[in-house]
This record gives sequence, C-alpha cells and structure tokens, in this order.
Amino acid sequence: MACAEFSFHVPSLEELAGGICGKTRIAEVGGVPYLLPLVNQKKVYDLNKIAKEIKLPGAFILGAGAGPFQTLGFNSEFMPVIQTESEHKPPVNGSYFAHVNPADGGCLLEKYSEKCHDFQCALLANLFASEGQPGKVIEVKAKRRTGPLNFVTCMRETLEKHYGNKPIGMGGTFIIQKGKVKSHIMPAEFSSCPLNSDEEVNKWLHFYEMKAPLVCLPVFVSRDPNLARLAQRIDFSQGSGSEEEEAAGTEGDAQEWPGAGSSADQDDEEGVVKFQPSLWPWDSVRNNLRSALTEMCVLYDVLSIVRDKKFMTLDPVSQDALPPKQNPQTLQLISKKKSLAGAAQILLKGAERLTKSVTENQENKLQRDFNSELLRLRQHWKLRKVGDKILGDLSYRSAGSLFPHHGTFEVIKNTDLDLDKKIPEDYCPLDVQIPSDLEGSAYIKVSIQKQAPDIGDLGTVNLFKRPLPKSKPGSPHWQTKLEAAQNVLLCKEIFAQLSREAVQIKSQVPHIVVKNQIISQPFPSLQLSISLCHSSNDKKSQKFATEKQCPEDHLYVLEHNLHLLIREFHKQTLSSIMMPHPASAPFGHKRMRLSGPQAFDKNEINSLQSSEGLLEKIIKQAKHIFLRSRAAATIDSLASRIEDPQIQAHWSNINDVYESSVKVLITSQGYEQICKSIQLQLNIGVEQIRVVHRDGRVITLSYQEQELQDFLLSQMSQHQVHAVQQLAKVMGWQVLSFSNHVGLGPIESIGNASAITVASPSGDYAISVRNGPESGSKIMVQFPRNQCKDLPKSDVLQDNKWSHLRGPFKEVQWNKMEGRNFVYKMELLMSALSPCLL
Amino acid sequence: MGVTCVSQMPVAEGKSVQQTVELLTRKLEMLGAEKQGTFCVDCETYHTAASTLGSQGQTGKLMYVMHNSEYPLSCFALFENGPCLIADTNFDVLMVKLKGFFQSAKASKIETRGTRYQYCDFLVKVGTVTMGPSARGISVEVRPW
Repeated sequence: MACAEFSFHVPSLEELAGGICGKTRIAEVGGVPYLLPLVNQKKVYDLNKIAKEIKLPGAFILGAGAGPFQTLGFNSEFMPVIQTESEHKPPVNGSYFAHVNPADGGCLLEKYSEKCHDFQCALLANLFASEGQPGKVIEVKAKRRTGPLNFVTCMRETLEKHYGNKPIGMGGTFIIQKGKVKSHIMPAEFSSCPLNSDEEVNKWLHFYEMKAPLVCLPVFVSRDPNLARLAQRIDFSQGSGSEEEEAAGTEGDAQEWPGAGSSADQDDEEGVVKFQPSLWPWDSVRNNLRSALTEMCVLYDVLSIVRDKKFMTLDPVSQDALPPKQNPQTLQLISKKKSLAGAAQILLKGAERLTKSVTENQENKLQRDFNSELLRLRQHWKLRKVGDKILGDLSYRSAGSLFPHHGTFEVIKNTDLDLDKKIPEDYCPLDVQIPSDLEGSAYIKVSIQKQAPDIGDLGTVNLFKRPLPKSKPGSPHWQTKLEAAQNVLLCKEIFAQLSREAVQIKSQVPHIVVKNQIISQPFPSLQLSISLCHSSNDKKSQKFATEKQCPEDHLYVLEHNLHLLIREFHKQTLSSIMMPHPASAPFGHKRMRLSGPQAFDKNEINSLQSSEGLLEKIIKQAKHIFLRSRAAATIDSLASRIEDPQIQAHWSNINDVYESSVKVLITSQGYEQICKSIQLQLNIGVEQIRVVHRDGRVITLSYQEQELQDFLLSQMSQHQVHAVQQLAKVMGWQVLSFSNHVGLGPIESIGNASAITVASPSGDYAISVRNGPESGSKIMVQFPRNQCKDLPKSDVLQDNKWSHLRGPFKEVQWNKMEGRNFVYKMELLMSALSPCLL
Repeated sequence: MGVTCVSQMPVAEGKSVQQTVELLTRKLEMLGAEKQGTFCVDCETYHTAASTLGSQGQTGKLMYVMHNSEYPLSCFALFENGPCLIADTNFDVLMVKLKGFFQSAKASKIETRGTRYQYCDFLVKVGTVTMGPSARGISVEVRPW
C-alpha cells in the first residue's frame, strides 16, 4: 500500500538537542510479551518517569516503541523524540506516531504533540537516552543492500562480532536518502485472537512500501539474541530532504539507489547516523561478580542452615551396590591393561621418533652436504679459515718436521653438479686442492746392485709405478688424496735430508747425488742407490708402468726404516724429553746435563753427542741386510751342493737392524746324536761376521763371501774326522791319534786337513782317516802282518807272535764303499773289520 | 787413568816468554808430536764481602773459579784449603747473582793459553800464563792420552 506524502515541517533533531552524547544509556521498556500473544493493557509508561528511573532526568530520548493507546485511544507505532523534564528545561515532545488510517487503510504519520500533550507510551519501547550534548559519534554510510540481513541487523552483528561476550548497545538516527523501504505498522485494534506464530503476526501487521527520504531511529543491543528481535526495532519518520544527508538501505526489496550521494554542504555535523555505545565496559564484569556473589551467599546460607541440623540435613545419595559378580580382579586387570596401554603408547611414540631420526640421519649421510663433509674432514686434518678460504695443513710441521714446505691444501665446494642428471654415487660436495708439486704418488726406492754399469746411467732410474695403496673402503676420496699428498711430502723430506747429508758427510768413497738418486758404495763391489720415485697421475706415465724394472732388488724394509727414522727425527725436535731435575737445569739429554758437574772432557762429550745422520744409518742397515742375505745364500748353496755332511742353519727370530744371528749345525744324516761336535754361532754385524765355535774359539770373518764359504767347508771336513772319533767311541774302537790340523800330506788351499787313527777292539786292524776340504777323504786300513801275503820274511822277526802285529796300510776305495754317507761307510768298515765272536 | 803433571817452565835467559814458548813448541814438533789444537785455562778470584763477615771478625775467604777448555761444559770453584766444586757453566751466572756476598777482584784474573800436542801416549800442553795484558810465565801440562 502506498504511503501518503507528508509535507508538514518536522523540527529537526538539532532543534531539540545539540547532539546525542553524554551519559548515554539504553532503556528497554516493556517487551513483546505484553503485546503477544494477547495484549496486556495495564502496561503503560511515562517517559519523564523513565528518564528519572534511568537516573538521567532531563535526558534527551530517542527510540522506537508502541504508541500510548491509553491516551490516543488506538494502537500505533511510536517514535519518541523527547527532551524530558528537568530542573532547567521544560519537557519538549517532538515525537511522532504512525498508525493505520481508518479512512483508507494506509499508513499515517503524525506528530504526537499535535494530538496529545503527555509524555506517555505503552507496552514496549527501545529508548536511547543521553544528555543531548554534542560529541563523538559513529557515522555509517551504506549505498546498496547486498545480502539478506537488514541494515540494523548488519550493524548489530558487527558489534556482536567485535565485542563478543560484552553486550554493547547503540542508538541514534539515520536517514534513507533514496530508494524504497518495506516496513510494517501495527493496526489500531489489538488482536482479539492470540497471535502465536510469526505468520499470524505478519497477517495482523500491515506492511507498506515507503519511499525515501525516511529518518529512522534505531536502538539495538549487540548481544542477547533473544531480545534482538525485540530490541532491534526501527520506527521511521519521514522528513524533508533538507535534513541530514547520507543514505541508508534497510529491509525491503527496493533496489534502485543511485550511486552518487547527495551534497553534504548543509550541516556542519556531517555524521548523520550517530551511534553510541551506551554501556560502560565493566558492566559485564560487574554483573558476573554480582551473580557469583549471589550464588556464594546462597550456598553460605544453605551450609549454615545445614550445620544447625534443625531445618535441613544432608543425606548421602544412595548408590547402587556393585553387582556381586564383578570381581575386583577383573577391575584390576582392566586398569592394568589401561595403564600398560598408556605406557606402551608413550614407548611407541618414542620409538617412532627414534626411527624417524635414524632414517633422517641415514638420509643425511647419503645426502652428504658440504658442512657434514667438512666436519668429517676436520676430524682427520687441521683446518683454519683465512679470509673466505678454508686452508688445511698436511705437513708434518706440527709433528716436529723442519722441512720448509708449506703443505697447505685448500678446501673448495664442489659445485659442478648437474642437478638434472642423477647424482653419482661417489659425489662429494667437498673437494680438496693440493699443491701441484705434491700431486701423484711417491716412494723411496732403496736397492742394492752389483757395480754400476756406467756413469752415464746414473740418475735414470726407471720409475716403475707402484700401484696405489688401496684406500679403506668407505673413506672419502679426499682422504686418499690428502694421504697420498702427505706421503709425497714425507718422501721429499726424506730425500732432501739424505741428499743434504750425502753432500756434507765425509766418507771414504764419496756419495754421489744425481737428480733424484743418491748412490753410495757400502762395500767395494756393491752399490746402494736411494732414489725418490715420484709419479704423477697423468695418463702418460701409465704407459711406462708396464716396464717392470726388477722390483726384486727394491728393499722394502729399508724404505720402511727410512720412514721410521724420519719420524723419530721429528719426535726428537719436538723435544718430548723428560723435564730436567732440578727445574732450573738446561734442557737436553740427561747425560749432557751431567757433563758439566761431572767434568766430561771432549771425547766423552763427543761420544754422547754422536748422532748419525739418516744416510749413515740407512747405509749401515743396508750393509747389514746385504751381509745377512749373502751369508744365508752361502749357507744355502753349500747345503744344496754338499749332501754329506749336512749343514743346517737356524736363524734367530729376534734381530736388530744392525745385527742378526744364525746357528749353523753340521751333522751327518742318521748320526745326529753322536756327531754333533761342530756347532757354530754366527753373529752377522754391519761389516763382519763373528763366529763362535762350540769349543770356544771366536773367529771374525770379513764381509767377503769367500771367507765364510771356506770356513764352512773346512768345518765340514773337520766334522767328518770328529764323526769318526765319536763313532769309534760307540763302536768300541780306540783312538790312537787325532789331529784337527794335520801338517802332513798335501797343503789344502782352504783350511787344513784333519786326520784320525783308530784301532779295532782286538787290535788287529786300524783305520786311518785323513780328511781335507779340498782333497777329500783318504782312508787307509792297517791289517795284521799275517794277512799280508806279500810281506818278505825277515830273519830278525822269527817268532810267530810278530805276525799278529799290524802291518802295512792299504787304501780303501772309499767311493766304492757301500753306505749313503761317510759315517755310515765308516761304520760298515769298522764292523767289517771287527770279527764276530762266535 | 794416569797422572797429570803441571809444571812451570823457567824462562830462558835473555829471551822473552814468547820466544821460550816457541822454542819449546819447536822441540816438541821435532820430537814428532802432533799439534792438536789450542787450550785455555783461566782463574778468577772472589772475596767474601765485608757485610757477611761476622762480628768475630773472620778474615774473608778467597774463592777461585776456574774454567778449562778440556772440560768445556764445566766450571770449577774452590777455596784454597777447602772443598772443590765441579759445576755447570751456569755457575758463572750464579756468581753474578751472588754479587752481594762475593766480590770479584777483576784485576786478579789469570789465564794460560797455548797449544796442545799429542806425543805417542801423552798429551802435552804448553801455555803462556798471562795476567791482564802482561805475560808472566810458561806452564807445561803432561798427561796420558
């Protein structure tokens, strides 16, 4: 239904009050229950009294409510705009009321003061009261409706969202500048039938479409949705366009709002829609505390009454007895199960976490980022940061070396990784750059050769590439690289030290230093060459690797010893010696410290300080090794060449670098127990061999190979004769004469011949043996005279008894004798010459 | 083992100390001794300081500190009829520290320098004894080698 147009002048809000601020409060008077389902006509109110009730007499009240039917005679919508009664001012009623026109059924808006002069309202009202002072307000502008909620609901919900639990009220006025609004007006008569549902209410209400401009007076509270519908009531009053600007959209279907706003040049106060929170923020707190206090008082009262036990007693609530079937054990079981489950849960969680971290670690290991690799590198090598470079030290300086090589390597990040391709297995994010002169691998070759063929061949030692020592599985490639470089550095230091000493030290035959080789002559016909073989990792040198240059003469032991010696030298420079006693004494060797107080003369001091250089030591060791190997070779060759007697060598396991010992036994096979008179102990030194005989003789042999051989040969020949002597004892034969060095017969070139003469037990026969190293053995048997046929009969010896004497000698053809060795043959001979006694 | 004999050689008449020393060395060389180097023996005297003398008025003792090139790392300190100490060369430093108790008589530093000769089994040292700038005599030391 269309609304009539109104054109009477409406006093603007400014005429009534300066503003809507100052001690603002919201008053809710009555409520919907007084209207629905049936009207309660007893509920009437006076606005002046309301102002006093809300403790703001003289308040300027805005709002919406139901009109005073008691004075008007009919029901209406009421828009109070009242300056209530105060001491200073008379009350001014600028309110409006809208009701259904009884004539045409349309809606009629009238000024209340024209009809009545009281300040009454009825049933329900939402009022916004203030002092009417100017102040800060909230201005809300809206252009167009965009959703299902109306303007006031939107504002209320915004407040609710913002303030949450705190109920905040707002009141004010706004104007709809353009557009249409659908709203309702209560009919003049109350419904006689109870209105129980919204539909019935809507049927009873009259709905109209009203055109702008419309001034609205909303009062609403953010919280308490139950009251939202009641509290949020808007009653409209229509005013002229000259009033406050700013459009607002409300409920209804009117959609056309032109975009452009109206000019705002009329009023100073631009904020048209003035909303104000009316409740102070501590209100909710106070309410809560008050309710709590109430409850506490109630509880206290109850307890005090109960204590008296006069009017009230406490009775325990009877509980159902447990069913007897349920054992406490099952309860325990259940509770234990639960607790175990809880504990198991915790453990499983922990286990899960551990497995996660372990797998992560493994993944990390595989990932091997730069920092973790750097950490691994630091565990093995010393690193330091210089500027933005990481440098490391692979020299032996910290171990006591004095070699002037810097030995620094650089750690660089390996960034040449193609992320698109698969990461290779041996990819390492860290790379080391070693100095160029330490690249490749090196070793010191020590070899002993017979006299060097030519001077021109010196210094041209073919480097046969030794295969690189296998790196430990799992060790990263930088470790092998650094170790190889360190080895190269150590080999260089060893060679530098050796060459320095070779030049400085005086010896009978001077040492020759040529390029990478040091040549010296330990023995006249011998050459010791120490060379530094450094091969880089180029592919070119691989070709030469195939030529093997007699690796047998490379003495690994000496190379190892060189390494040991240089390390010992390092340790000495580190001066890890005992602290002197007393502490004020000078550092140094203990005996050197005593040399002052003990008045050592120069000789003694020199003997203390005798320190051989590396070269001297290694030459001595080489000599010893050579002597030892040659002695072994000599003995072995003799053993293989001569079967009778046998020569056995028992080498001692514990040797010195400068001394070894071997025990040489000369025995006859099968007769070891009786023929063990030749036992030699050979002490092989650096330049000579000392032989200690079983009979106590000490003989010193030089390094000449021939001497040892000759000596052994002479001993072997002596053995045979000794064996005969022992055998004679066993067989019962008598030794008539024995000589180790017989002066008769041909002169031996090696040693001397030995001879023995033994007589048979009966005395009939005698065996005479002469054994020489060169001449071999000669055995003669002496027969009794009566067995010799060719003896001339002599006139002197006429008795027969003389024929029992032993006569001439006959030689035995020893090589035709049966028996595998000399002693066996001798035994056979002896037994053949001893007749059996029947 | 063996005995070391130190004796003073009288200066030949009409000749200086140096000339006599030359004579001796020539004789030795003619005998067939080998020159083996030089030697030096010196001696410093120290008085006990007056402050340490007791109220009884003890006479100050004299201490002699000797060095011998044959024993290059040693220092010999002795009182005239008293004990003899063989010490390290740090003993000299100690004497500096003990300046308060011992005062050195710098003027009385005496030393003998000369050459060593080895003759068969013996070591013969012929030295010129000097005190300050002036040569005072000749010392000859013989000991088995």
